[in-house]
Amino acid sequence: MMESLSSQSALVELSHVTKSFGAKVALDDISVSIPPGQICGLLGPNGAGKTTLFRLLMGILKTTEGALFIDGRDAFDERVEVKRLVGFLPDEPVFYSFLSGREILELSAGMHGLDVKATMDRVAPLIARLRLADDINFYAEDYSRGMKKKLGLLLAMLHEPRLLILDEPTNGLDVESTHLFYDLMVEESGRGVTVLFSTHLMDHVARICSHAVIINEGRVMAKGALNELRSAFGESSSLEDIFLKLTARPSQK
Amino acid sequence: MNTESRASTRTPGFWRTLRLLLGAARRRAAGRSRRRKELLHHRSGKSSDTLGRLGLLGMTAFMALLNSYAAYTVNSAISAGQRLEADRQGKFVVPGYFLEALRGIERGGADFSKERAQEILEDLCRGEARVRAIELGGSEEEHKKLLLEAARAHGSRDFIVEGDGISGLSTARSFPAMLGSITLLWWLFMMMTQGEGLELDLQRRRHPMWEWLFSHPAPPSAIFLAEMLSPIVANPIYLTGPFFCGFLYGSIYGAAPGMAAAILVGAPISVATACVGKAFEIGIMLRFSMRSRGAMIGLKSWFGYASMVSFAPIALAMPQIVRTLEGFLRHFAALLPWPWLGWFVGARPDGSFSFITGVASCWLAAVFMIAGGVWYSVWGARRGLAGGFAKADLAPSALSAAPKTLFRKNPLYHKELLWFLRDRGAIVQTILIPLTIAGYQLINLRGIVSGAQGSWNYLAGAAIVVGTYFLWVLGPKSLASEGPALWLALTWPRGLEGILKSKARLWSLIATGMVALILAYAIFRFPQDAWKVLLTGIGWLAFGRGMAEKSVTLVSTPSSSGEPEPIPKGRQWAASLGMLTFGIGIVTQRWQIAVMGIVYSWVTAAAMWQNFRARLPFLYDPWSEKLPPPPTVMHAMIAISALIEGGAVVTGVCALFVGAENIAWAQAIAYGICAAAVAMFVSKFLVDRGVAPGEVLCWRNGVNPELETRLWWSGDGTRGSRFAASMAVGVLAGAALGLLARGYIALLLHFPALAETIHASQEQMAKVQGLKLSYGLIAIAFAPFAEEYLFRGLLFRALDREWGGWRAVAASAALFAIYHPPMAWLPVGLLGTAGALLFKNTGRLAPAVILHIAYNTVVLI
Repeated sequence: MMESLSSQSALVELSHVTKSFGAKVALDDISVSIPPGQICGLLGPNGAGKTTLFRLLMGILKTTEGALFIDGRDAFDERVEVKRLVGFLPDEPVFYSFLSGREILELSAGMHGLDVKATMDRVAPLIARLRLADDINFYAEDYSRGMKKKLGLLLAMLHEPRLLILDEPTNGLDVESTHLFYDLMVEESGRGVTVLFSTHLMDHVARICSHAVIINEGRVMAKGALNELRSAFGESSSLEDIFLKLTARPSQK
Repeated sequence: MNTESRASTRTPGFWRTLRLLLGAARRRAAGRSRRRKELLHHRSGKSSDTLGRLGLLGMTAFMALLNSYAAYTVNSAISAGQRLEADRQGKFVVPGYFLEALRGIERGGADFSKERAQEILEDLCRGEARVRAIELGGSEEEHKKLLLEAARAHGSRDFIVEGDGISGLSTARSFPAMLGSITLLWWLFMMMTQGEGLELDLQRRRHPMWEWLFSHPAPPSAIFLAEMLSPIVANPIYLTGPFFCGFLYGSIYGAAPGMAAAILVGAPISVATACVGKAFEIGIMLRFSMRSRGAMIGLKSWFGYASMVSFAPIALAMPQIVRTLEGFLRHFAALLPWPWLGWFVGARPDGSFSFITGVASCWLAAVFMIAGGVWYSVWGARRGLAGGFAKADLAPSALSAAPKTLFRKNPLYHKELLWFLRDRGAIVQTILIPLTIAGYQLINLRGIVSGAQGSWNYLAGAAIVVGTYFLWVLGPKSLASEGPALWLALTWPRGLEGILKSKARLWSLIATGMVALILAYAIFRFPQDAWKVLLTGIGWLAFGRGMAEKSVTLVSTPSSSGEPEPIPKGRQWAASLGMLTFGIGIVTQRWQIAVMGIVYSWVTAAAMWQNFRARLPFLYDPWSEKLPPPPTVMHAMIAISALIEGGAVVTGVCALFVGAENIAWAQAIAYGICAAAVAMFVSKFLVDRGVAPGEVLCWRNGVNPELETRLWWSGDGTRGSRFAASMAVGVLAGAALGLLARGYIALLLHFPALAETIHASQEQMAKVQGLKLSYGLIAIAFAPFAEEYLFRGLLFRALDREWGGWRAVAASAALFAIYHPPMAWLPVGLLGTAGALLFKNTGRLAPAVILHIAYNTVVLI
């Protein structure tokens, strides 16, 4: 299990995180640590609390109890500093209606304190790879859903963060782009970047992730390296079997 | 699925769909207010929003008044027209009593002498001439001469009684009928452009739920009608619209029919105007590109607002306006028929009126308007929800991308610039609406405007009013350009705080530009007062930044459904604190009042930012929101105000008991009572929030928590000598500052103007019995304890947490100083500075109290 890893070296550390909105408890005593350079899949049925967890990591929400640390910094108290380390792609990125894709990238680079021209030169190959080069000068508001996701990924990777938080990155992407996204995630992790992403597609998790966390109704059901999970639930069981077993709910008849 | 359940689904009919959608809208509104209440309860324990309810009530009353006033405006337009018609025929329109008196003179030659008759006639004409000079312009003498000549030449023949307004409406082609019709159409147009109020809900307007709604097998006409009826509940102007019709009908048919008309005519007409207005909006949504919609709808709302606020001033000036535009307007009276008003109120061709006809024609008009709106929307939607425009506006034009070098250093400002250049709604939201409201406030403060041509200070006052209200309206819209893209700002290592602070800088820059324009004009008009205007400009630089920072704290974020959260009225009011003080100081040319306004505004800005900073991280997480740790700057300011205001009130009460001749003692007793009461209340308040009384008396630096629990006079125990030393420093510094103050006063005595004031106050001191003694009591026994507790213990501590360093020292000393006479500002400011430094460096309030006692003693002896 992951706790066996020294928590000193963990890039993302959640200790006893509870988050409630009024009377509703969205996350209940979650403890997870993710070592650097890993790809960790966050799995859970709809409403399990995945997006809440991401928003907590981004310092948009504050925990009710417990704390989240990114590279030893508190995700809420040091939220401004933490942003240098983190790139974030929300589930449904929305952009300024009056800026083109390029201008949004330039704005974001400027706000990260990067040299705008050098950054744009650096990401130009990536823009081409994502097949955005033709549309980059158009207003981003008119982009299709997939194109918005691609622009969002570019923005998340713009400042070469050490942690990528991607909320359902492949949602709304075509098959080719989905493969491209996963290739990029693997490449990034090869360069030491930690990737934390949520998805509903088990086979992709099985293919690219080193770790997985399964949550249901705000609680961690299972966590750890994939091979450890498999050995815990029987070698023959697929990730999908494990997931269904853990998140099974009594039918609501 | 079985076939039975499938068979039972039927296409919902028109009325059923309408009922369903309106019910959903009502539930949405109820849910919103329930959620607001829950949040309020969660945060502050309060369960109801009395202030909000009062605000709504006041708003409704205002709208009712406005609609009634509009009816009066129709009447006054017709009257003005009738008067002009009479003038053209060479007759004078006069009040009834004038004509009566004139006829009396004509008839009763025998009753009184000729001289007496002449006297009465002169008096009569003089009074009327005065009225005419005001209403029509020209000199009083001239009018009197004309009236007298006419009366002497033809008696009462050239005079007719004032028209009856709307009940004297004769033919459709007449000039008065045209004026009345124009006013009526103006009112209708104003109603149509109201929409859901000035708080533009652009987000929802950009992305309506139509696509989803149209995926149902429901009649589109019902969907659009439901959409059109929604503004009626949102904006009280529609609910009070019937007042207009009621008063209009009432002035013709009498009170009871008027009330009937309010319901029979007013309700359908209000609904119809709301529907037509919404149809405008739907048309804009269907036919214009995304980036133009905001501007179009913004312009519409702006027109609605501008026409609403201009009703009152225009109605007041109606006679002058009509007279000025007479030549131009007359062309139209002859050219076109103007039967609109006649139809609206049921005028018959023979000049009589029929209630039934009026109601019937209004119903017809309402049905026509509603059906037209619905038909237009359905027709538009059939031609495609998305419209056929998008291709032309895919990429920013080269022109709008050109000014790349401007604001290159600050990407945020560059973005804001692009917003201005491209989103046509930006100008409406950030310039047009704030300027309109600022201009309206100027009209409210007519005194300033009317004096502006005569003197520099009125013009400077106008500049301050415009600048302040501009910022006041603009601040809450600080995140308008971000909108739902705000998530991106949250991924930058800048923090929302930094972003909003730089917005405040940008807004104050724009406002300063406007103020500078007006001030430049003031210098141009009154070159001899240039230095005073420049001084005002410097004052504005200090004031404007504080004002901008305050107004930014009013910002609201659009929720995911696109509805902006309403701004709490108390916070809105707090943001405008200091504005009137500063403005009045400039207008009355009393610089000390202006300085007080600036200082007050700055400290309020700190107080509001302290609370805002605590709230800011929770813009998306209101459930986690916590109040900032007490005591805050706001707490300190409220406590200080309570002592000052409370002292004045209690002095009055005490004077009742001890008699006016013992006012000096009343003052001392009152101060003592108030100081004790405020200290007690504050302590209780703080204890309730987990701050022990001893904590306020110690400077908490986290080194020794044990220290905080000790009483202030007990010393540190282990560091007794150090405590004694700090007390000694307090005594010595106080005495030194006291001597300095005496020297300063001696210096001021060399200036004749100041010496006079000082002598006057000294004489006052000597004259009133016991004043010196009571002052001594206050200054030595009460004030050092109370004021050090409030200004150092609460205010300086809280300010230090907010600003830190010298700014906190200076601001607390400045606020301390402005509560004293201007002559004492400098020494008292130094005392405040010394007190703050002593408090912070010794870690205890006691040395500051001793300092204050020593200073006051030396000054008073």
